[in-house]
Amino acid sequence: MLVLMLVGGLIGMVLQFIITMILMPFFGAFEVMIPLSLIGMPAGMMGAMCQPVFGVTYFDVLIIGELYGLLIAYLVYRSNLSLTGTPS
Amino acid sequence: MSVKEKYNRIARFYEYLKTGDSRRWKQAQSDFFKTLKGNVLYVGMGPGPELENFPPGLNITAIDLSFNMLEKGKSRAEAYSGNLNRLVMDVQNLGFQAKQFDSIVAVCVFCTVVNPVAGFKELRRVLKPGGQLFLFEHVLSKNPLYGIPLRMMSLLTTRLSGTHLDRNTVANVEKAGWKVLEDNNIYLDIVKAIRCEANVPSD
Ligand SMILES: C[S@@+](CC[C@H](N)C(=O)[O-])C[C@H]1O[C@@H](n2cnc3c(N)ncnc32)[C@H](O)[C@@H]1O
Repeated sequence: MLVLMLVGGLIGMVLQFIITMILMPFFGAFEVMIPLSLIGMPAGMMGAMCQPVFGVTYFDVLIIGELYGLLIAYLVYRSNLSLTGTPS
Repeated sequence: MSVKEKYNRIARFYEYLKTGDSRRWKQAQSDFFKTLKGNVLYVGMGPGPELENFPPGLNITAIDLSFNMLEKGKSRAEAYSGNLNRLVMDVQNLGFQAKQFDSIVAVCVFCTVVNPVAGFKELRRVLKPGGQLFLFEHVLSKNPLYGIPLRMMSLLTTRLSGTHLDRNTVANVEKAGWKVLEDNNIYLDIVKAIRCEANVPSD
């Protein structure tokens, strides 16, 4: 399982890097980099772990990943609001 | 590869990567740069995306370590409604006499300057008494949730572009003898607008 987690985390990091490069010109470097860095690796690790342990389907893993991503994006948004007083 | 060589290479696609930031920071920069005045030293101009957020009519001397980056700013420099001269120069070793400038401005530069404290000391030397330094820079977050990823990514960005994502620019500017008058968060506590004046007379 440890190997799966590492592989999942690594895939998450690679995807994070590619998506960052694609989205950066539209939304700004840090606005993309910060949420994605908190989503990519952990979501990859969790996904890779959940699949064999809980026997969930790939579709479920995808949905969990998406919900986790949305939650992180919302928390970063709230955090920015409290640090700057303006919406991100 | 030196920072200068890295930026000479990056110049080709730099502006594409920067478009999102330029759009996002437009209003904050226009507000922040409102009080720039007189003879202005514009450090690390590169292609100069922030130039459109400067007030008109300034007398600007723009410097950059990289010729290619500065060349990308040619059309913006020509379109500026004031005077603007561009020079290839290192902020750590400025070829200007002391007390020449009324305002100094830098946007996303001190993440790449090899010795930022030396650069800030040079800036203090060339600023007239009563002048101000305007920094629009990204720094390391105090929140470890953001700070740890920034430190990790910095390992990569330092190699690719010489950009340090883990700099404490507020501490560096203070170390060089500046007094921070304003330190405003623009995005999280990572992108900041920092306004300073010289703390002690420069030697
Ligand atoms: C990230 S770019 C920022 C360019 C522009 N201000 C912007 O916001 O798009 C950093 C710039 O600082 C310049 N630079 C790096 N070290 C420097 C130094 N020691 N002296 C002068 N310019 C330097 C680089 O060549 C590059 O053009």
